[in-house]
Amino acid sequence: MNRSSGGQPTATSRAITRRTALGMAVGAGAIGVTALSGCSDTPDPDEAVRSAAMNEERALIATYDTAIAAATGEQAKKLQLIRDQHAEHLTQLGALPVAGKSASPSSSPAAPLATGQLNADQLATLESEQASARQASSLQAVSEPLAMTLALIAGSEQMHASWWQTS
Amino acid sequence: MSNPADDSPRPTPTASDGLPAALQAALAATYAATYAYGLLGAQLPPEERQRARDDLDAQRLLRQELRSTLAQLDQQPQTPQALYTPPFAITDAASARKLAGQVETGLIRSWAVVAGASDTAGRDKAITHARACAKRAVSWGAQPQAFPGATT
Repeated sequence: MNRSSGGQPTATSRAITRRTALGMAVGAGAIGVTALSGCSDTPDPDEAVRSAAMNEERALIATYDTAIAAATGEQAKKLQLIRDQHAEHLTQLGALPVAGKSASPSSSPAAPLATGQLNADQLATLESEQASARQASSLQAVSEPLAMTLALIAGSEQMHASWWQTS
Repeated sequence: MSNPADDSPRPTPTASDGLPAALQAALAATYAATYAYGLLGAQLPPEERQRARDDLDAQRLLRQELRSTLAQLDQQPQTPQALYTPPFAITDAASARKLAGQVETGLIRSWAVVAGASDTAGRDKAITHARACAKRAVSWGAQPQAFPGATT
C-alpha cells in the first residue's frame, strides 16, 4: 500500500520492476500487432500464476463433485452452492485479458484434492488453505486486474471456510 | 450505507484508477462501516453486543491505517459524512445482523481493489484485511459469494 515509504525498498523496487515488465510486455504486444498482424511472441508474464490458480480451482470443483456424489439432502445443496462459486472463479480467471502470448489453457480433468464424504471441518480447512494459496498467487501477479481478482477470490474462499466452520 | 446528501452514482474504483483512489474508496466504506456498527449495536441482544464492539474496534483500526497510508502518499484523507443512511430499516436483531454482514461483505471488495493497486507488501496486508472482513461477514450470517460485494 505504501509505495513512498523507505521501509520496504525490496517490495517497492520489485513492484516497479513488475510494472516496468508489464509495460514492456504490453508495448511489445503492440509492436507485434503492427508488424505481425496480431501475432505476439511475448509470453504473458502472468500465465504461470493464472494457470496454476485455474488448475487449483479445477481440483476444488472435482473435490466438491466427488463430495456431492456422496452426499444427500441439505448437505448436497450446500456443497453444490460452493462448488458453483468455484466454477465462477474458474470462468472469471479464464476471461481475464492476457498481456502477450498465452498458452492454450489446460482443459484436462483435474484430480480431486480429497475423495468421498468430507465433513464441515475438513471443508473449512481446505477452503482456508485455498484462500491462502490465492493470497500468495495474487502477490506474484503482474497485472492489476489479475491481482485484484485473486484477492477477491481469496476473500470468497475465506467466506467459504468460515461458512463451513459454522455449518 | 449511503450519504443522503449525495445522490450521484459513485462507481467502484477499479485497480487501474490507482492506489490513492482505492484507498479513499476503502476509507469511505470504512467510515460507513463504523457508523453502521454504532447504529446496529443497539438492536442486538446483549450476548452479541460485545462482538459488535470488537468488530467496530477492528474497523476503527483499519480507518486509522488507511488515513496513515494516504498521508504517507501525500494524499489528504477524506473526512466522514455527517450522516449515512442504511439501505433498509434497522429495527431488530435480524436487520442489525444483516447490515453488519452486508457492510463487511462490501469491504472485502474495497480491500481487494486496494490489493490490486498495491505493491507486494501492501497487497499482502490488504488481502489479509479482506479475509478478516470475510470472517466477520459470515459471523453475522452473510452468505458466501463468488465475488463478494458485487453490485450486480
